[in-house]
Amino acid sequence: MAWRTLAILACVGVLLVGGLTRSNDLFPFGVLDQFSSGTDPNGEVVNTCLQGIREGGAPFDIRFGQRSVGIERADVENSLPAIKADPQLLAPLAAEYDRRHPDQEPLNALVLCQRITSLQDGTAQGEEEFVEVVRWEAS
Amino acid sequence: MSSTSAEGSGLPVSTSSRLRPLLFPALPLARLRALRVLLYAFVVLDVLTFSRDVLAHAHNAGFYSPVALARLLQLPAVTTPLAYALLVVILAGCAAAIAGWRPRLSGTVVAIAYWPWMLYSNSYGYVAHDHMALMVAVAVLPTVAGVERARSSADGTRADGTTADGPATSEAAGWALRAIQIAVVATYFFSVIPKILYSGSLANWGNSAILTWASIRRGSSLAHWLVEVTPWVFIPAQWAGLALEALSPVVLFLREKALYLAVALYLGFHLSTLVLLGIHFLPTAICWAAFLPLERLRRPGRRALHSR
Repeated sequence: MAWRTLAILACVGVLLVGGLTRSNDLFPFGVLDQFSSGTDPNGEVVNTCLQGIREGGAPFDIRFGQRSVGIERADVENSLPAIKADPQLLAPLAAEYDRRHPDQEPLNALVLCQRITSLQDGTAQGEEEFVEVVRWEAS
Repeated sequence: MSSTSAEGSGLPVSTSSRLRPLLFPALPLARLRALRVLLYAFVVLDVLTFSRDVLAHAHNAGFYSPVALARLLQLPAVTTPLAYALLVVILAGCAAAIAGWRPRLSGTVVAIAYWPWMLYSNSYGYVAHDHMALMVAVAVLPTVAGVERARSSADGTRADGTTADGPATSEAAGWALRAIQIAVVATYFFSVIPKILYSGSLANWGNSAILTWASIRRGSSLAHWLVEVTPWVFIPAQWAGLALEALSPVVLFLREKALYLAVALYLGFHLSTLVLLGIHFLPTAICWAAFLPLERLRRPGRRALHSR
């Protein structure tokens, strides 16, 4: 009985520490911070996006996900500083996309972008703004 | 464990007598047996769908940022052979566990392979929060002895609570079920802390535009319609969500109809986030089964036979 009681107390304790220190590192007992940053009703919504470019073609949207570029949007968003510092981190995404589209020309460039919607009193206002964050180009 | 006296528990008698009904209720082994089948079947679904990203991560070694437990275990970035090896072990272990073959051994094999699998799934940038209860379940299910003898317990229980094969209930089973229940409740309750820390106060979060934000980023056509036509609906919805999270520990003390109503309420919450945002939270939702009298889900024919 003792170890079973202690096991529960220890896990709850780690969960508490993870929550108070905002640490995701303590997974699976880290901070449960999904959707925890309340968005300012007069702020903005940043929607991360991907665009592919082929030789002579116009940019086109590419979905995130295992069945597209081999990684989810949230993984990319949480690695944004690293990708900005080293755009080569986008290379495996382009490679995976090309692998899944063998009948088409390979990508010349992959653009990590953001579509930004402004909010006013909690509702969307005006047109969304497009921002290019970082670009990987095939060498 | 099931016959351990308070004196033999290693805890002071008064603490023990108070903790016992809370953490060690004597619950039917048949319930645990049914839950094992359900959860191991779900683990199969999980590794083939929701946490399948481990296979894709083998190509994204540059994104590997191991969480603390992965570093402690010195797990290298996942490779394709390693990912498939873990997958095969998990699938084989789950098949054996579902079939009822050596429950403790098969459950331990699943736990030893599934935990690294989940560490890999969550060490490439995004850390998900919907798997805590399922990971706890996979860890605690193999700790219960006597599950293989529970097959006939619901039908052949004697007056003294035993069956021809052994005891029908066990405190170890009760602890395992309680551990899963606590993990389920904690998934909601502990999400209140970061809401206070990140948003300044619960009121700031409740009055924020978080659901508008989520709807614009990942909402269904219904969610986008709500943003355009009835944006006012999100504030009361946020407060209702907060109430569900903050009050979740109450569920641990509910019984019978009140408990079933509460379970339906939380599952309804997940259904609405699924319909609006495509967030299913199934790994947690499935663990709500630990609150239910699964042992009553006998094959209809057998029950009819015994009710004559």
